[in-house]
Amino acid sequence: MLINKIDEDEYKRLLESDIHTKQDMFLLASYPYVSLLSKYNNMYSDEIRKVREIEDDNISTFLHVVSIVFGIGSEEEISAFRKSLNVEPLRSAVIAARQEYDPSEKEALFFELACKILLSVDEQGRYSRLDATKVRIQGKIPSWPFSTNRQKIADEWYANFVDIKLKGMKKVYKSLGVENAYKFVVSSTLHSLYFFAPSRYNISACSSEDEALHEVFRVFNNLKNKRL
Amino acid sequence: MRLFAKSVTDPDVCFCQNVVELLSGLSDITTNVAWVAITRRVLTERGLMGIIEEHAENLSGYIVKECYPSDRDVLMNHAEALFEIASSGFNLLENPHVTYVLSRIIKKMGLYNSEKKQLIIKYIYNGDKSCESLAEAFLEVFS
Repeated sequence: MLINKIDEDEYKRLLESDIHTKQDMFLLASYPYVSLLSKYNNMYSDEIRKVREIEDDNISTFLHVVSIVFGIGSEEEISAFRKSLNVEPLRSAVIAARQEYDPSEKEALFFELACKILLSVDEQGRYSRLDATKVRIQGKIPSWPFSTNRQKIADEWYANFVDIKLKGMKKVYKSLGVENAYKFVVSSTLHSLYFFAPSRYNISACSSEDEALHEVFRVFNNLKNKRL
Repeated sequence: MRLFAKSVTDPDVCFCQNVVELLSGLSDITTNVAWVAITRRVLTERGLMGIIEEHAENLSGYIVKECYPSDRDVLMNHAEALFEIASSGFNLLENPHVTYVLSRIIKKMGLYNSEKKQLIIKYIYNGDKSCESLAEAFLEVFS
């Protein structure tokens, strides 16, 4: 079984055209972007392992945040999220979405802003009031004296990754509704996970792409749980 | 010291400066996500976005002299835009810091008390005309 993917040009073309069907949606979701690791040259094996861990952790955080914003998660998490909508920084997402003229864009804009705001908050709970949607990667990229911009590269990669997924989500939301918008983000993220490290996933026995993506999710979770 | 700054006396530039001053107050209680969205909506609805697009980038190179439109309708539109930006999404009674920044700007604009009262009722008391005596008392903050 092979998981299909589209290239960047096809992705841009689809993003600008209308999405009418689930097939269009899954085609858009099959753009994987590039891995964080591919952004670096000349890394030692332990550095590669660390970068891969940071990549996994941040993708996992992204999926977790999107799920909570879409109302999928434990009761405590959803309740805490709803309460935090009354205080900064998430209150800003509510206020900004209210300013949107087009009612069909309001909710999708809220989802996008809330996800970005949550991903911009650092491990100590700090955020920038002047740049509250500046998504930053969690975790320190291994560096040495002559490679000081590695962390910056990682921040840019993560911001692009999140932007690509959320742009697609907004597009799908407008045409196919909230349920499909969530499915899009999950499917698109699983495509990325597979193409970032295909050797990790044995999908040869899977009979459909859907089954293969489930397998990717299962293996990814197992790997993450083993590290914890 | 701004040795090479240009002295500008222009009501549009002055309005732009006032918007920036108000936003600096708002940025203490919320993030750029909210105030950018509010400001864009209010100024677009009031046909004032062009002023910001034209002058905002150059503002740091200007020494802006106080200057307000002689046309009463234009002046009121500017004042109302500032009130609307300050009160969209926030209760001005609960955020005295923003009210203080807004009042500092409004005081300079040369509005009549009746005009200020009208704006106070509309934006601070949500148009509730029964709050006229409260608005009268509040007028002192803006005078």
